[in-house]
Amino acid sequence: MAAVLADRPSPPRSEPAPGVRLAGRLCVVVRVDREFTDLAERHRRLAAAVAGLAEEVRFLYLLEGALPTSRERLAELVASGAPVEVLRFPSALGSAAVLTAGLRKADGAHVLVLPADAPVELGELGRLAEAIGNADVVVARRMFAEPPSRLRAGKLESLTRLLLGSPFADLRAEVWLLRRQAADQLVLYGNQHRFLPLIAQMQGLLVAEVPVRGWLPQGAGRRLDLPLVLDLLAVFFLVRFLHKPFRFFGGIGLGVAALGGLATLWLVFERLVLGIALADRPALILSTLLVVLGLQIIAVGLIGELITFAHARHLREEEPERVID
Amino acid sequence: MLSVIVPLYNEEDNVAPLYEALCAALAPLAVPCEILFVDDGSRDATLARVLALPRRRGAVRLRLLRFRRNRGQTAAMAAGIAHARGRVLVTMDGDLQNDPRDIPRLLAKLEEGFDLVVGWRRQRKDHWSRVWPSKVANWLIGKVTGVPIRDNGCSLKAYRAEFIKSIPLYAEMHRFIPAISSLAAPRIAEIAVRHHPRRFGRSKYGFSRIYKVLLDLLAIRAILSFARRPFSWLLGLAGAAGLFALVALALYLAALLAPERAPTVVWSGLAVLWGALALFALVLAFLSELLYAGRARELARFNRLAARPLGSGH
Repeated sequence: MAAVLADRPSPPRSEPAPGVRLAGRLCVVVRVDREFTDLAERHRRLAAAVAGLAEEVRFLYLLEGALPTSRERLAELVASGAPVEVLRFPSALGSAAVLTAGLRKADGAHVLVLPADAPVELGELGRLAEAIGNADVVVARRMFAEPPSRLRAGKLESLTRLLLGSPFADLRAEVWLLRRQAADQLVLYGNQHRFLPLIAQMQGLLVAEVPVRGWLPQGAGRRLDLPLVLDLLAVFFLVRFLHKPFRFFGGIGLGVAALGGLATLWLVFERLVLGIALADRPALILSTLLVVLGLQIIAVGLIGELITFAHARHLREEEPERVID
Repeated sequence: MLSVIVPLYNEEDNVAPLYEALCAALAPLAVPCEILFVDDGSRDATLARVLALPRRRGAVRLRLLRFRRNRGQTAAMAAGIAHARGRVLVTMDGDLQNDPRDIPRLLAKLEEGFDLVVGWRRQRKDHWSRVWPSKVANWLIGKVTGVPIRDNGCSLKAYRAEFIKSIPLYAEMHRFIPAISSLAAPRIAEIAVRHHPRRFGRSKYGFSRIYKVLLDLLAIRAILSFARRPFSWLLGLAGAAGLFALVALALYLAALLAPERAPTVVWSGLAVLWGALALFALVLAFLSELLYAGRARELARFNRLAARPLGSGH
């Protein structure tokens, strides 16, 4: 059974940022992945915060899982005539797939995505709108009143910086403003939604990070859980090697096979020159195991390369802009 | 129509002289031409310099594509090829080291019935640290792929549009266009072209390229074998591993049957290891067959391109 969260204290400020008004419709996509008893109140605060951001604002709630309480609150909102649409998804689908479906359904010129318990001051969402002029995707970067320790926050970002050269300082706020084209282009699966800014950048979109006041949810960020690290590894592979998988597998495989080959040569040298017996030691098996393992990794890499070659025309690439045509 | 495709990355000082040189070289051809610059996410004033150029000069028309981020030379070249409108395409670097005056000679050679004419920088004006690794790489590429081109790295090439548009270009495959295009059994010619020292800007190549080229070369070899014989491309590995397994098995049996007791564990272990690798390669061969079957319609286009009417020459 999903846990019902206690109400959060209201953020200190929720009025919209002055002076920014996006052209056309803004669709606010709210991700709900657990129960909220105060969803109606949260919606009212959010609606007040984004009211002045665009000519027209609509809301799309994405419910992941059964969530009867949240469903009931949203049904009341819809019945009251609020510009709210609700989509329900089985939780087994995964957050990234749910988000992708939501991005396709959202019909605004701009799409604002945030979780129902967004850890940012809603009144500062206007800063994202200010920055969208020069970008396809704007990502909220939380600025904390009291900066948390490095052990509590920033581990994921440090890892992504190390592995992928990621420029993003906050991947866990998960508050994003996207242009329509960017929302149409992004296809996410698994748990890739956590790395949306990186994947958007990989697909050639211009991504800007904008500081907004925020907080660290209680209990969040204390440790890097295993699924997150695995997701990070998957994204690392995709970002770096999607178009050239053999550079990944081949590098590892050649290294392992070379190590095994050198060890085998040394054993042969020992046998032939130093006269040390070979047949009664496991060393030869171990060195051969390394050679075999290396060759297997190389072979798998070549299969990866063939897959890339066979699908080369369909691999997603950035479409260039026609400046003079 | 002729399309000249030029990827540009941080070439602000080269853009205007290159445009002038291209116009001067293309004007006498008396055919409609387009110069298709592809700005590959330059961070300097390259884009502004292109925008300041005249959009048309005689029969030569200017077009510009732009990536907002640097995507690499292959992606820029592939985008240019995909958007080009000509029946004949010419690619070249934007650093003024290739000479546009060689374009008419490339086209004349293409007219003789070739599908691809490759420039050969016979007298390269680069530092030895670029020239010698390149010579070794070209020799290796020729040996491994069976396409003995002397200068794969020369961007100055002319293609029939129908032909080059069918070749998948991705990652950093622009160096291997002649090799990868051998899938369609093209008629390839190679002619010596001029080469000038770089006047402005900096080279974008480094030594890390050597390691990448070596790995890419192995990948290309696998792709060529796979595309021709999807099931049997891994059978060499399976056969070699099987042979090692048989040798180890023979040594094991010899040790087992020897009059004085000899250790057998190592030989049996080796037989199992090499046998497992042979089986693994065989399983991968089945997997690649499955992969080919799933994309057979697409991959078969190379065979269609390879078909030529009787008496078409070369």
